[in-house]
Amino acid sequence: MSYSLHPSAQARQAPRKVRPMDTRDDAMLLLAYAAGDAGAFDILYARHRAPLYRYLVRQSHDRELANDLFQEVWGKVIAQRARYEPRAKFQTFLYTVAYNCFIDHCRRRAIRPKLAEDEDADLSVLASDSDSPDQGAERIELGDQLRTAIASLPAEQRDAFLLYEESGLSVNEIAVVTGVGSETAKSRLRYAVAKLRTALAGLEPEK
Amino acid sequence: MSTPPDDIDAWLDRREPLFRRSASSEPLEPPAEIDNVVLARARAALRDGRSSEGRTPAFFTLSQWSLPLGLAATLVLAIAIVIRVNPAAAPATSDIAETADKLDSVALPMAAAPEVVRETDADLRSRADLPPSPQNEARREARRERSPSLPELAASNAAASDQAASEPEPVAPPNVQAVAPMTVTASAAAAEAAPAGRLADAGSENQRSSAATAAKSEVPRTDPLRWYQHIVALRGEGLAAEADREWRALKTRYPDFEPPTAPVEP
Repeated sequence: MSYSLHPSAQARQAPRKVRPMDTRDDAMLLLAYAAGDAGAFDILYARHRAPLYRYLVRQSHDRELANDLFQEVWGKVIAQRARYEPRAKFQTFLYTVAYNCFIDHCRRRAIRPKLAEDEDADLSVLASDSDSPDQGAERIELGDQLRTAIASLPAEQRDAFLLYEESGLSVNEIAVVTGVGSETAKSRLRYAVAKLRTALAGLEPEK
Repeated sequence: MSTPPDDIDAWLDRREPLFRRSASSEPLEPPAEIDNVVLARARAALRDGRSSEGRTPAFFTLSQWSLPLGLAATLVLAIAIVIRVNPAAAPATSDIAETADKLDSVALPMAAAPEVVRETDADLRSRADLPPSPQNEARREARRERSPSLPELAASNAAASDQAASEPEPVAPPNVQAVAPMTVTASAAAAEAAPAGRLADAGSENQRSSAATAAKSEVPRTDPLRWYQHIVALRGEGLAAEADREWRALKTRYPDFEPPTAPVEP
């Protein structure tokens, strides 16, 4: 069993949002911002705002909470700009801050969301204008199932899976962010993928 | 519970995230208001950082140091002015030395006090019908000859007090010399108790000091000639400073005294 992109999805790759072109990597941009270059932060923010926001929405299943966490994360990045040392990828730093913010929020509320509660959480994102009505309905159903399956994962497995999916971190970087060993992170990811495969077995598009 | 996939490494290597296909087109992005808030906060942080860099560091601000610095300067100036205006407030060391010499002469009879106590002890023992040994008897006789009796001590103390009172100079508090015998005696005892090899130098030094102290405690200040002989003896022992001091004291007390022309036996 394998996950592959729907052929129609590959054909309808929407043009990416126009972002400032800069060859500097993230670490250099943050260092430049710490040195006083405000434009460097704009580029850095433009690169990571959408993936980080999606990660937070899918973690919290709550747009309002995700908005608050999103601002909190960037506020901490801004505050820690002078102490940042480019020993690891900026993404690892950013998602470590995001993960800790989310965990702190859960501790404050003494809960961890188990199931999706935000029904507005873009089920339509998996649909496209170019889809036929059947295809669109199928994709919405797939998105619904996927969201429900992710939400039903144990918290640690969901963390690992969302960090892998949304942030593009490697297994080792996920281990760093979540504060566990590499094997543990890999094991969590393995179980998460297995459960999602089972949950989405009947809905996977034909290749 | 489903079994973990065996091809997880292959799945990871393929790196084809589920959400990637939707990431480009999905509207799941932060609202524009939040973007504006974050970017404004980033610029404000830079402005705050620049303005704090431009400020004078708190270390050099006047408000922190003005009060203690002003107090310290005032104190130093006040002390300096007091010393300038009233130099007599600080007693000269020569005055102190002279006064100490006088006190020494007054306190000399008190050095015999332990002997008196011992004598009284022996008397008590004899009153308790303890048979005195011949050696003790001989020692007691020798003490009686050497040290004055209580009436003699009282008389000499009174004479010394009269002499001190007749001189108009103010009496300064006793200096280190007044308590020197006790200190030196303690160090001499320590030197005796210490191993001979280790503290040989310190022992000889202490012995010299104790000899000087003993000589000083037996200074015959009532007789100028004997006092002069004592000074000569001090010079013979190499205690020139002590001899000079004694000579100055002698000349102060007996201004008309002239050293004998014939050589004096110490």
